[in-house]
Amino acid sequence: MNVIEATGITKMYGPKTVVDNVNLKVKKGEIYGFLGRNGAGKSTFINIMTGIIQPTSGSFKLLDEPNLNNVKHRIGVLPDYSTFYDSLTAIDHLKYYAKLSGYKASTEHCESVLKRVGLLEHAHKKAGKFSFGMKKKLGIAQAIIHNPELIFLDEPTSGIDAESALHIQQLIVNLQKEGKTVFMTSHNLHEVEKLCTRIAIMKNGRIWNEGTLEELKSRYMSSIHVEIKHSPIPQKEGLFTFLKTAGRDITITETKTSLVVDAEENIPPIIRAFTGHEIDIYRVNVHEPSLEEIFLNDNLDASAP
Amino acid sequence: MWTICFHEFKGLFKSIKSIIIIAIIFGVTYWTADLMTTLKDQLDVHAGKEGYASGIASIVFLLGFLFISSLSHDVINREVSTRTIRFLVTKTSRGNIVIGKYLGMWLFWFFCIFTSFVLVAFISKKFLWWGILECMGFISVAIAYNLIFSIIFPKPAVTMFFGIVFALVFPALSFWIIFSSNGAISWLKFFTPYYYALLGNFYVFINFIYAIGVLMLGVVLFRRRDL
Repeated sequence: MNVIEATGITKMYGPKTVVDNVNLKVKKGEIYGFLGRNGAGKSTFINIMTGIIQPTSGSFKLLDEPNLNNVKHRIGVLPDYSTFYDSLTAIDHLKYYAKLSGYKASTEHCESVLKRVGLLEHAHKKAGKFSFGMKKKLGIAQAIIHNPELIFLDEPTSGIDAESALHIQQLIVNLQKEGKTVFMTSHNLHEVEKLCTRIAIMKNGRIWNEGTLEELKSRYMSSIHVEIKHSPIPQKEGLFTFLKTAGRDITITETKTSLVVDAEENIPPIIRAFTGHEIDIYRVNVHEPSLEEIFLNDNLDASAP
Repeated sequence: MWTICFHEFKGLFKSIKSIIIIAIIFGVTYWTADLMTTLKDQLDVHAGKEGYASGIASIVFLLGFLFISSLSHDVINREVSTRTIRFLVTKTSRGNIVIGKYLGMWLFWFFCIFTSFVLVAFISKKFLWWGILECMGFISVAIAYNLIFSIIFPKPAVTMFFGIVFALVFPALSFWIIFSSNGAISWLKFFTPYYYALLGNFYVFINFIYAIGVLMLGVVLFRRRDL
């Protein structure tokens, strides 16, 4: 079941197109990561999905329902750049927002949610005295207070300390284990790589690339870097002749060989060639591209004329 | 809708401006009613009963727009500019937000007016239900106008300035139009709540319908806003 189904979403501010004909499907139970540079259109897209701004054109369904107002009580949202009422405490906020979603939250329930985000000790403190990080945590708490099925998190860990960020990342994983779907944006590529089951890379308002991390890697890296640490090679020529047929950019030293192959299938014959020449292999390092490399590569490609 | 309504209602009591305005309304109400008691021998019975509530009526009709504007000129745009509105709009419909805010303000003013009339009733020995209805009919329109301004103008400072100017100009303009014999402008009297308030009797109900119309316009405008 698709919990998010967006068709041709476009948002224009005057002549400027911020989100350009975005089509997207997110399945139930996924953690879907939305990546892109500042101004790529990630937050605008989330704001459209959650009713904060209106699309210029296009339509979308959340939880199989085309009318957003009918499902607002089933979704949770942490918007970008949002603040709280200075005079209300964290508990007051959670009770108010839960009630708005048609959910009567007891003090115990609010405290348990604040504990989940690591804000329990500040439960009765007024939000006006909160730091940026604490507000972020309260924002996450209000997004999950009414036990929603679909949660939109716009940069949930930006501006908070490393320990709290890890705590929030674990919370996101736990939410997925509870059967919830999470749609998140982040500038932290390692975080997205670690958490997300599918990723979309946005560029100039369009989805430039989309898929699982493995799909993105296989799509983007036609070259696999292989590094082999081995016992000294008695006769380099025979091995070198074979390696030239299996890969390229070959460098052979006394105890280390590196080369680039086009596919994973080319690696086992190379290993066999080494052992066939009675060379002991101590270690094989296969360098896979990180999401960071894909993202940077993507942006370099995208910025090419 | 009701959650926002009661949140707004409670919020209005916390402001120092609200306390000052409540004190002014109660003070003038008590002072006028007390004055009427002193002068009742010089007035006929009917005028006396009406006169007890004249303090509240004067405040509502002459300063109603000003009071409402000073308290709630930023009822929507403050939340838009601080972006607290984003949490509301992701949880309930925009219509519920606008109507909830309206009802919260309406309840606050109903409480003030009702309490003032209770105060008058202690002195006049009669509870003037019709007076409450007249005042609330007029206030309903004033609140709806205030809400519209807060939706149209994105900056609270602009609504503060515009609200004050409007509160001073609109009553004067309304009375000029109502009492004008110039046919080219006198038809505009149908667009001012003062006209129906002055007509009295069941015409005061037109102000409630008027308020609903303005409120619905506010809902339509707010639905189109990017927040």
